[in-house]
Amino acid sequence: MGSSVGDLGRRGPRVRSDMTTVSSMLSEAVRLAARSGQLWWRLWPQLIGLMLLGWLAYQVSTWVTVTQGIARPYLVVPLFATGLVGMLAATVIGLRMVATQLGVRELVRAAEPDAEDDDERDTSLTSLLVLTLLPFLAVYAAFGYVDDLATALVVRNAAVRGPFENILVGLNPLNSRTATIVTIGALVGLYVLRRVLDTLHDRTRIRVFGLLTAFVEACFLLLFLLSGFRLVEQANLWLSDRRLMSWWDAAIADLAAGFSVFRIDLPDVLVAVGTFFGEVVWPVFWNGLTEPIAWLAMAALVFGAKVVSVADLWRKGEPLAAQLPGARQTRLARRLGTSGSSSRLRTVALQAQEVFLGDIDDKYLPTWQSLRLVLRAGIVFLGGYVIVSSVLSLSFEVLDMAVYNVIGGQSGDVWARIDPFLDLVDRVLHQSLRVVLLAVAFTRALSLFAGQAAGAEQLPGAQPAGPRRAAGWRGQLGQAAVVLLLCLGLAGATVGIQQVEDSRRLSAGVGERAELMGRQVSVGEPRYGQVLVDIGYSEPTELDTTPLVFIALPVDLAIEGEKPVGNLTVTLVNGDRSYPAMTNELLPGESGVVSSIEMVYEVDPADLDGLQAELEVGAFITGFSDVVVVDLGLDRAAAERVVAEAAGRELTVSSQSTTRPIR
Amino acid sequence: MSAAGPTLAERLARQRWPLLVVALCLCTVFSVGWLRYFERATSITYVPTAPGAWVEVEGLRQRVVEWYLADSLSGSDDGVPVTPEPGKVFLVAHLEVETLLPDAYCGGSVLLGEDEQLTADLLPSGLERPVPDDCPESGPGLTELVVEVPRTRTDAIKGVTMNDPETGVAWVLRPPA
Repeated sequence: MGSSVGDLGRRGPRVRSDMTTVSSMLSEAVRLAARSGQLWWRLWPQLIGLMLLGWLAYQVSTWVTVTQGIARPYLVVPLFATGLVGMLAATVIGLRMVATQLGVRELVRAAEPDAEDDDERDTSLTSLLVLTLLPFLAVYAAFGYVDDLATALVVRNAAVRGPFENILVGLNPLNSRTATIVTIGALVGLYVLRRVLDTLHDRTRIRVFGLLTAFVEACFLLLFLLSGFRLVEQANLWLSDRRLMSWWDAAIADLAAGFSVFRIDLPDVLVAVGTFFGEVVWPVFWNGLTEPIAWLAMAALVFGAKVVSVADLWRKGEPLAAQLPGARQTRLARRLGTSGSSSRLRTVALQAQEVFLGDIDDKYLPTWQSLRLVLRAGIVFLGGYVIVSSVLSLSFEVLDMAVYNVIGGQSGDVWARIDPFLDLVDRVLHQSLRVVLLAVAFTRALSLFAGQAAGAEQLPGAQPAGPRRAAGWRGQLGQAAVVLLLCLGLAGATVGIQQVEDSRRLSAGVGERAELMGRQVSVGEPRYGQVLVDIGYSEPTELDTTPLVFIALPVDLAIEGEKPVGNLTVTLVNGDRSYPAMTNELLPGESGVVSSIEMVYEVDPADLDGLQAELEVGAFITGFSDVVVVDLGLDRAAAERVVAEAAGRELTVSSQSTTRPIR
Repeated sequence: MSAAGPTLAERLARQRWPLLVVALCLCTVFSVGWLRYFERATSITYVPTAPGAWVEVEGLRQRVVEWYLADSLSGSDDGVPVTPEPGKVFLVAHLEVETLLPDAYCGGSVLLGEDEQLTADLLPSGLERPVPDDCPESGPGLTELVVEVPRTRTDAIKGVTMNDPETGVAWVLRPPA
């Protein structure tokens, strides 16, 4: 064991140390992956069982919300919270279980035999839940998972109840003055209730109070995320309306005017940089790198604040400022005692500070400490962990896409029906693997620290780690840069995969029949012209003349079986330019007949080369669907011919659709 | 080992199968329940009612007073009657409506055959009809429903449907014989 970072500093010139960094990172990654795989294989029944229960809690709560949520909107938040707490509890129990298998406690005890044993509060599950719930939820929310869950809820509700009832609308506090007051009242009330329950749990150690505390905390956070943020948004909007903001805007505009002297369009430059940063760099950074590290810090919390504090001491860093949970009384007493005179006012003030800010000492400080701890485990370890984590995420993205492609394009209601079962891949299988990885990774970090501590004690005249690090700072920077690039590469791949299409593309030729989600479609030879004439209802009427080109595209839609949901739309596409149909945009079709229609488009002649027709089904709710792509077979020469022939020509179309029975 | 004995986590690590079996059973129960519920919630059951009977759904009471087929509709401001698409004919239904709650949607669709619902057509605005096509704000009133039906399928007209989203039932209304 022992610190690999220190060793590297001694070994040689920077180039070799960079390569060594990469190779040690990779070997670290392989080691983590192998150990995780081993452990998962040993514990998979329990892990899968746990994650299934978490999945079940979430699905049942969503189901109940869908059946009750419209009639009783106040139930939405508690139900949602129940599902979240259930999922979280499964993850936390899983982490603890894997930790016992890894012998974390023994590791800590062996290295620090005189460290006090954890008191029962630290090890009991409900206390753990209370301690870790808020940070977990915060991380969940920060990386967008709460949004995903809320969207899934809305979609599922819409699939069952129809599109006109948005289940979350009832939670909008801006609906009416009453709604605003009720929301703020509920937020304050939940916060107070939570403090009360927490104190009760502290004093009486009754498990139920602990569970209730966790539940109320989840409700508070969810209510804030689903409703409260709108109040914040509104406050922002209000602020931007004030004179202050318009002064600010005017100042920026003046600055821009000044810069125009140098021919730099300041807003444009800012916009470009901002866009690049916001759309490319930031998602990669946030999702690919920050997320795995945040989860590792959460895992550290689950392992116990005691473990974190001991590990911190091992690192010979600053002493932990937070005390053990449950020591709130002693802390308060100490503050009062050491202050010298303790007037009544001061006592009350300290009590109040304790009530409202006690959270900081109990939860946020340990979270912060565990985050710092994780970050100082060494670049090699962190790099290796991020690599494994990214590969895991990537593999599951690929698996998800594969599952979608196997099932094929379906209408939205089919997806809504099987959504709970599709969730299994992510919430059960992926999550079980992730739990094992987190436990293995944190244990590895712990053993690195233990090794550092042991190693430093054993070396005679051991130097503290500081000076050696300072000497190799340029080497360190080089290593860090290499590691960063590697991780960014992996992270980029993950984010790239996430931006896959949400449809499966099938190709067909002109005149060829293709199957499109329960329908048979085909596209005929297009006709071209520049003067549009509609034979319409009675007499031909000249509709329009264009300097571009009109295209009349005959489309056939046959439905043999039962009429499926949605209407057919046909769009002409070239690269990223698309042309919707001018008239008769939607073709619903009827069962047992072939509906034919000519769709009309006005297209730029420059786009004729390589023009394609995309046939899709539009409905209110769509999921992964099929798209039939028909290449109209126009190359450069053909396009020029078409334009030449169409010049000034009349194009007669009928806006009526005709039907004939199938065969 | 802590003095309190093996913790939940330790016990869990030792026993492989009980939790998985329990979880699988519960999940199976859920799956069956969910699929059944989804099927019932998203499918419509058509229930015929007595001719001319009143049906009440969510703040609205309706019944069909009469209906007839028409080749054209009169009442446009230029005197030219409105005609349906070729091959189709208008079904004009008059409904007696009583609005109990504000914002209730009156009217409905027309059921053709087993499960095909035809929605009311948007008539040209400014069409002056003897019976209006909007719903009374509150209380009783008469409303008109116009739907285009293929000529070949006029014998398959089953009735005017009123959807009850709570129960997934669509009541099928007919005029008195």
